[in-house]
Amino acid sequence: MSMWIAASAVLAALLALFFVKPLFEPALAVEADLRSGDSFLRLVDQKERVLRSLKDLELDHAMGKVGDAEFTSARQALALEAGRLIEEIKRHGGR
Amino acid sequence: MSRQLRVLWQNRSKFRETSAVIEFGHFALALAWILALVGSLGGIWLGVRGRARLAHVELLRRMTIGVALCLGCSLVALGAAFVSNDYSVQYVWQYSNRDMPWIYKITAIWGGMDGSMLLWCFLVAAFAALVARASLAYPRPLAPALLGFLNTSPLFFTSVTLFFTNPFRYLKSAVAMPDGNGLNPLLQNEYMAIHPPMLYLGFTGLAIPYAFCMAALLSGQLSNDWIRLTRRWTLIGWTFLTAGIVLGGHWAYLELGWGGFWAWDPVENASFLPWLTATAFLHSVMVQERKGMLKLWNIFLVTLTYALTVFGTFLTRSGIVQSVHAFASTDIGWMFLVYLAAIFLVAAGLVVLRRRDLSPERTIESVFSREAVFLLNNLVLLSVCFAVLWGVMFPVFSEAFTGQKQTVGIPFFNAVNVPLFLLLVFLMGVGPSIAWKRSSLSQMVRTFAGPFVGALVVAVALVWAGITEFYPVLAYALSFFALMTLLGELQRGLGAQAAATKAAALSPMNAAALFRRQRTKYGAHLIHFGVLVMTVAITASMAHKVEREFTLATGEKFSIGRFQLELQEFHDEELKNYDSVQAHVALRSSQNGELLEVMAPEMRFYRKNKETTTEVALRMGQREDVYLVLAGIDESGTRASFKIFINPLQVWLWYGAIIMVLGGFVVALPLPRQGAVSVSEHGRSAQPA
Amino acid sequence: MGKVFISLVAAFVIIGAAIVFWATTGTSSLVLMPSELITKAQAKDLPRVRVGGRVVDPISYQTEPTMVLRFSVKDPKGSEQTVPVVYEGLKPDMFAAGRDVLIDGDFVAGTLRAAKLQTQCPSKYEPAAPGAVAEQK
Repeated sequence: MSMWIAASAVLAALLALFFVKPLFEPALAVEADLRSGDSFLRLVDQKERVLRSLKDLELDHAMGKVGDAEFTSARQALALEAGRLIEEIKRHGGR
Repeated sequence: MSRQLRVLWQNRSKFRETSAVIEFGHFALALAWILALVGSLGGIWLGVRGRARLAHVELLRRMTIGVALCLGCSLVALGAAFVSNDYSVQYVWQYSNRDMPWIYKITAIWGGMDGSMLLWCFLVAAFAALVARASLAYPRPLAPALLGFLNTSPLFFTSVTLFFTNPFRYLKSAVAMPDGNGLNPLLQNEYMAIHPPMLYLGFTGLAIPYAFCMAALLSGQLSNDWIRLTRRWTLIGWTFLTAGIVLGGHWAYLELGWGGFWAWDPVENASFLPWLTATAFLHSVMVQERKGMLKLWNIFLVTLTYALTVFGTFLTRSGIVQSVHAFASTDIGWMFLVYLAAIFLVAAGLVVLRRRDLSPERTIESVFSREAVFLLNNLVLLSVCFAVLWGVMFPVFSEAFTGQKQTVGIPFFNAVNVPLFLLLVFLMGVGPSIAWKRSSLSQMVRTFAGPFVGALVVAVALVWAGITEFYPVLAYALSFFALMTLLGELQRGLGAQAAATKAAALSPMNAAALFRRQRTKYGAHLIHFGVLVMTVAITASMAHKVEREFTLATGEKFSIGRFQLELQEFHDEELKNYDSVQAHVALRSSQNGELLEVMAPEMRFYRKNKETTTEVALRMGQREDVYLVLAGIDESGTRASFKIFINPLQVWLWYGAIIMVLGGFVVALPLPRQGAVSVSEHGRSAQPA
Repeated sequence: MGKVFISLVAAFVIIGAAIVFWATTGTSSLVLMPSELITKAQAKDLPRVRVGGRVVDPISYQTEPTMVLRFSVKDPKGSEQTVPVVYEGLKPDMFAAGRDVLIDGDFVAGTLRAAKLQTQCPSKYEPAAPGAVAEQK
């Protein structure tokens, strides 16, 4: 009877220690704003997507799935869009 | 009131000797429940508020890990009760006895509903803890909401376990039980050690993507990060689920003695439904990653997948549908229904909240593009899902609408699903080899003409060889088509890699470099290859299976296919619980009479309840399995009846499944650095196909 | 949403619904208890039924020249009316008097001709106690 109480108490105490520790760490006392610059992130996202599409296109071309003429025009369009996005990101003060 | 309580308390101490491990396990379970409650409410609240102290996020993170630790303690306590033969506990008494080897006492933990729910709790909490451990690397605004939603699943399942299916209940008996009831002999099987945990790992793993998805919606962090993280976890759950489903089929094949591996039973279907939607998601998510399309659709798939895992639990524990697996009907069904409703309502509410971020950035330009093929693949998978769900629920629907309960069986599932699956195999051939965005006719002809002609040749050859049924011919031809396109894709990949590095295309170095560069893509190809192997095996074992019944006296022979069987002798044995009779049957090649194996199908007569079970004798071969069942022995004890199944290419079904699971791990592991993949790294990382 | 997307989805929903409807009407069978079967059939034939019942003695199982299993089933609870069953095939595992079985077959001339016979698999969710088979309803 007393054994399980002891074991349970040990478990609870260990967990409590584990939990309260971070509350006393000064570095973690900062308040973080969880809202972020939505438009900025969306731009980064779009840039990523365009770059990936560009990579896909090059791969498809290398593997013969996309013809030369189509490849050139599609790549130009994607490169233009990537450039535009990168410019815009720069204007937002990002990478 | 207080008087009653006092009486109860007195009775408690009078009747029951409390057991230390059980009380400890119970306490740990209750503690886990409290932590999960605080964790989920706290996390969601911080997510809604939009501001949080870092210390609070860290606290949440630790609590999430704490839930798993507590449930681990709880599970160990239950295991300890089993191993120490503590028959004061109802659950232990019901599912074990002193004679059982210790390994089956451990597996008996999930031998019944209460314990399997506890295992479920632990696994889902363990997955949540794994995610929480790495959560500091995730985008910070996502973390509190993520931790909150990670805790909802453990909260729900611990609630059910703690309040309704508690395995830590004492036996309602005044006298101490000297021995337990024992585990069903069919479940005293090594597959029981591995199949349910594997299946549960799959089910519980698929709770993680939902948590990511809801957290991303709540925090508005709908960037590519959550998609990447979600895909990895979906893949992990998917891989375990695949392994679990196939292991269940393998168990049924070895143990149930009807020569098959899948019967479209509600229990099997329950595990198959989330597999289908998870598979759909794994494909459509690629479209979102590249094109910013199908955002809403992917949220729907993640939600549906999670809901279907919960629905599966509901189905197997509520007794609403009749199955060969007899379930104890329980009264916990309503809880699952409420939770299911909550899953969809929360998702719908958050989607409305973020509807502006979910509009597609592009549209599909051409039917001849990979996007369109992936979308088609999704529709087919969802159709299969819908058809299976319809089949499972048909008894319920028909009774509700016509007042007369009706049911559908294997013919229904095969009639609907076989054509849909064949369409999937075709799409599997097309998808990876078609270009994104738009494919020109000439490119398509170049890519697909060869495989198409090859498939036609295969079809003609098969018909010429005497296989004339429509579906098998189509299945083989389509599998060949898909295999050819897969090899063509590999060849083109090797060529492109070789051109880039000036290496020889077929050198191992070149192949290794290609594989390293595009690990996920070729891992996915490996999965597809496994599916093709399975398709051929399933077709062969469905279309060309041979079944015969025959009776032999000792010394008599029976010929079937390229085999000859001779009954040599009987071997009787009396064991503790049952009498066993084995028939020793020599299996010879009918061409040269070479002895291949002495097979020993067995019958067991359980004395206690006068039941018989059969133990199948199985000879697995690359070409076919010989599956022999001893059906009966006549009164004189000299003649025996058998049922034999010749299952062609059966073993390739298991090989195919192993390939699939390997492919799954190749794609999912090893994890690149914890957390989000940075943009620069992302540029180099391979794209999946 | 693009036109391609919408038309693909629409085509699929229609085709899918048609296939499911056609397959359902072609394969569905009535789910009955033995006593319901007797009332419903009214001594006439009733094709495609699924009967869930409890096995009662006498059980006869011949294995020569072919395997034929004869037994009767009654409602698991309540009515004591029994329906004779003939099943040509292998006696399934755990088949015994008192077990619950699922029978798919046709009711012809007062006998249930089983095409498929399944013992309710004593799955992990059922108490393993002998004789204590879980009730379905």
